[in-house]
Amino acid sequence: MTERFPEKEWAGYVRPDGRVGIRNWCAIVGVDGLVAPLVQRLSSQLAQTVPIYTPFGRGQVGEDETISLRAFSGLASNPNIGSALVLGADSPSAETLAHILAMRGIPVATFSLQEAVEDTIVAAHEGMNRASDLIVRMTRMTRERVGMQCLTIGIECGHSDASSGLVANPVVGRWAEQLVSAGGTAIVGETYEWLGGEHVLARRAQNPEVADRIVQAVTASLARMRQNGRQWDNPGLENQNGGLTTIEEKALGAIAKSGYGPISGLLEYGEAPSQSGLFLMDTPFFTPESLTGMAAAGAQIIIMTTGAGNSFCQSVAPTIKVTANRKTAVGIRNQIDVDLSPVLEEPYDFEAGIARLGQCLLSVATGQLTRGEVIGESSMVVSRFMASV
Amino acid sequence: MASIRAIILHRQDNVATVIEDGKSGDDVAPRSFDGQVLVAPVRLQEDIAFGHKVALFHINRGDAIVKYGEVIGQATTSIEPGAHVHVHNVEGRRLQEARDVPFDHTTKLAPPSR
Repeated sequence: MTERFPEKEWAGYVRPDGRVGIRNWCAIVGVDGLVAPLVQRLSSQLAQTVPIYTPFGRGQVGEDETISLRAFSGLASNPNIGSALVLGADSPSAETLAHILAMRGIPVATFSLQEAVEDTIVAAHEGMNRASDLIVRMTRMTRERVGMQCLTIGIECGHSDASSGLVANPVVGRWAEQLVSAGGTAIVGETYEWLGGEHVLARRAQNPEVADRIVQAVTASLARMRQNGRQWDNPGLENQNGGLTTIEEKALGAIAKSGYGPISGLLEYGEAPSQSGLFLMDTPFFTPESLTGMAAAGAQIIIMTTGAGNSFCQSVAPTIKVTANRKTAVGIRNQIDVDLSPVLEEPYDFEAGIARLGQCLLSVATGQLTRGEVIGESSMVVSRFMASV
Repeated sequence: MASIRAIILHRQDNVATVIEDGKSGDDVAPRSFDGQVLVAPVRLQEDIAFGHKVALFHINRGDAIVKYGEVIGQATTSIEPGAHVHVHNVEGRRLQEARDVPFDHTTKLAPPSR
């Protein structure tokens, strides 16, 4: 039973570094693609686990290798992770990641196919032994009461329509402002989706350097589209069907989800913010990649607004789905956590919408399952920034 | 003939977003979210679905389309009050600019003529 708390408080798992988990999961981590099936086998059979794995892992070099290691270590040390079993084809690569996690205070065990003399069934057996011990010990932990300053949320919109820009994004943005003023942190990604609204974001930057970096990130994403000879297929067909005409209109509606307050900085993909505040993150626009970047940066929860509906939920950071489109709220009732469509009825009560979102978010932080968790819809994808050798 | 609701987001806007499915001939009296009447009512010239935009004034070809108080595109043909404003009569400026020249985020199109 979830205890009821005064407004602006919630209860979570306080980690050694002071961050607080909304969940207490054992990460089953695969450092390379050879152990990806093993990770999925173990996580499907063990309680309280979340799989963190990659189809790649060898032959990644340069910036791509650096960003991958940062993202995987960030995901496996997200505050929602209470312990980790790190698996690899060979022991040294598993040990490298396990060492990073241990330094961050996470109880960790490792195993490798090498230790199992390449027998994946033996590896599954021993992996299950080691993870079981971690899970039993981990679940002795109980939730403690904490404040809003212990929340880092990722904010996203997907399959937007006009109701997103009119209601859902402004409601989320204004709630995020309350979070930030209470000492919490919010992260907004999808660089290419700022195109057409970047002048508004740049005006809100804390200093000229941040403003320049925001504009440069948008320019760079455009340049990559252009270099590759791609058409500007934005807004997409589902956006157009929902009434969005141009990329400017879509961007102006999309950036409303960041509120109207100052922007403290621009993060790189998977980079954890060094202080509290509102941050942008330079991510690909595809939802699985951008949400995974935010979870790698330490976001415990994602708020995702949608017009037509968008099924993706991040696996490490439970994803709250919000819509202001009544047809969507009714049509995919089992995938929508917060129905804001009443705000589009007179007298357009935004305060009630913000309160409803905040109530849901703090309940989910304290243990209430998201719709996505209930139906078991979740995944993760770490972006690649270069080809493998 | 029904009256349907539409939202105008900023006093400089020349379009409103209908928030009920509208039929040709329906009357629309756009309001801001705080209930202000910022523009005269219009009669829909065609069916306009939930979430789509209606022109509030006569818009000339080449005029800016303004929503959120910001320019969201440019009319590719003249648009009558009450007409549907969408991809068939509007083109974004931002991507056109991006094709040709680097974007200067300090420039803005002039607001529409009234």
